[in-house]
Amino acid sequence: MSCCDKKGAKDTCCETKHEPTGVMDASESRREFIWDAVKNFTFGALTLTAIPIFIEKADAEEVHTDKDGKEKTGHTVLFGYLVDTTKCIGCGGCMLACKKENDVPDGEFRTWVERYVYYKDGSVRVDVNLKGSFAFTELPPIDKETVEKSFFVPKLCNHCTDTPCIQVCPVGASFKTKEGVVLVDYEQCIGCAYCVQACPFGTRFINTKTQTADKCTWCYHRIQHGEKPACVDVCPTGTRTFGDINDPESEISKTLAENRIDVLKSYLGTRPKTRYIGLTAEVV
Amino acid sequence: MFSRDTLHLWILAGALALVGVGFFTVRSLTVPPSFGQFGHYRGAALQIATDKERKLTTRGDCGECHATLKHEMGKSHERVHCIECHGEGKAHMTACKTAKASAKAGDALTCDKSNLMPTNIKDICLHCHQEMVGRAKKHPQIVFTEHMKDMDPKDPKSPLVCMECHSPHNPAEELSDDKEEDKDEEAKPAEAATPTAAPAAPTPAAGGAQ
Repeated sequence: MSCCDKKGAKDTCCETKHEPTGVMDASESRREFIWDAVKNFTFGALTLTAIPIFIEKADAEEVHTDKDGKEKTGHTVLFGYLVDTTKCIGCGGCMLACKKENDVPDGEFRTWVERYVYYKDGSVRVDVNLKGSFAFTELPPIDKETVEKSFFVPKLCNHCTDTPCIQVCPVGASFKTKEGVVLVDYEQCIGCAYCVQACPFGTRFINTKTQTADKCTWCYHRIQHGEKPACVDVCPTGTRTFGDINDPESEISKTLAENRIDVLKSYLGTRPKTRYIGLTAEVV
Repeated sequence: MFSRDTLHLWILAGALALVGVGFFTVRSLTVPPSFGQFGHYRGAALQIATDKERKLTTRGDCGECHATLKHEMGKSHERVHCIECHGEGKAHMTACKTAKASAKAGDALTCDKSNLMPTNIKDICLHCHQEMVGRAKKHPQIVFTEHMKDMDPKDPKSPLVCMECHSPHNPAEELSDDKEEDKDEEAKPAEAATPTAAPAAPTPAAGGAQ
């Protein structure tokens, strides 16, 4: 229908009728225009909805073809780490082992041990062992009589399920493997330290040797060959446990099932895969 | 050839095509080849992380040759990793594996055993057993000077002084034995001297047995 068919519209619009306007026929009615708009909008919306569905489908297929996961074990491996703070004696063997295994420069740590001292007067003192040997005894001495209770808390990367550090990486150098291990691609990293700021647990740092972000990898080069992380292997008290939490028969799954488990800063919703036994409200 | 409006459309299409070609050229030059293989990261980085060299010997590595020694470890020290006292042991392990590969049947193995025996035993013991606020009460702890008050060691200044009474591989059992031996005053020095030499022996003995 053209406007020229309408009575009284002849004089105003028929002059432009035959000019080649290219895109739109100027004589198109408002009704047709709205109808076209509705059609285009619907088509566009459907297309935009469909794209993420295809992308998700591609992701899902990838999980099944992952050779280190499903094919080897019959189920997808998901690694987890458990720290039983009631067993830790603060010897720092884990810190030294980690440093040697991963070439971490002096003064930088992928894992460390904190000591929480609760005094009888209600105050709390927190020490950090940054030497790995007799550092706790080198600190200002504590009068045993004034202490109500005291314990050690080993800290390391929490390998969160929803990771703030990966989200902020501008070059895709931080990533999470299918087994749930959060790693840094040291060749891709530009050392902007955005992830160091983003980590709520303070487990990332800029390695002064490589000038890239660095963090605990759960000794990915050992666990991929069926070994335990260095810190778990050397721990003399069994404080640290590592394993596949998707395997109900693994040591860690059994311990997780039998104990009351907590994670650090659960209110942040990062869903850490490093779990703890024996935390108190003061441990963050 | 074209009307003015159609020409403008072609120009626009050409410009868009140029931008597209430019985008994909720059992308192929800057984005690493394996990026996006498994997710939003370089797929090759996984292989690099997996292939990194392992530095510390694992419990399994030591157990390959020293299986018997592993069973002799007492309950209290069974979780203590060999490398905590004996050092990383990488050189020893590599040397042994090379020697094993080239040795004929019946030959005694000669492994590199340098730097395996710790000289500062006392420090290593105190590393875990020094009394410290924070350590669980059930964990055995001593203040060294007070612990030595009741003892009569042959050489109190020696860094090996702990081993006069305790075998590092099985300290609890040795201690209970000593308590019984305390009744026999004369036998004590001779008996106590044996474990001092014992820890030096296991490595060659177990290594040679293979």
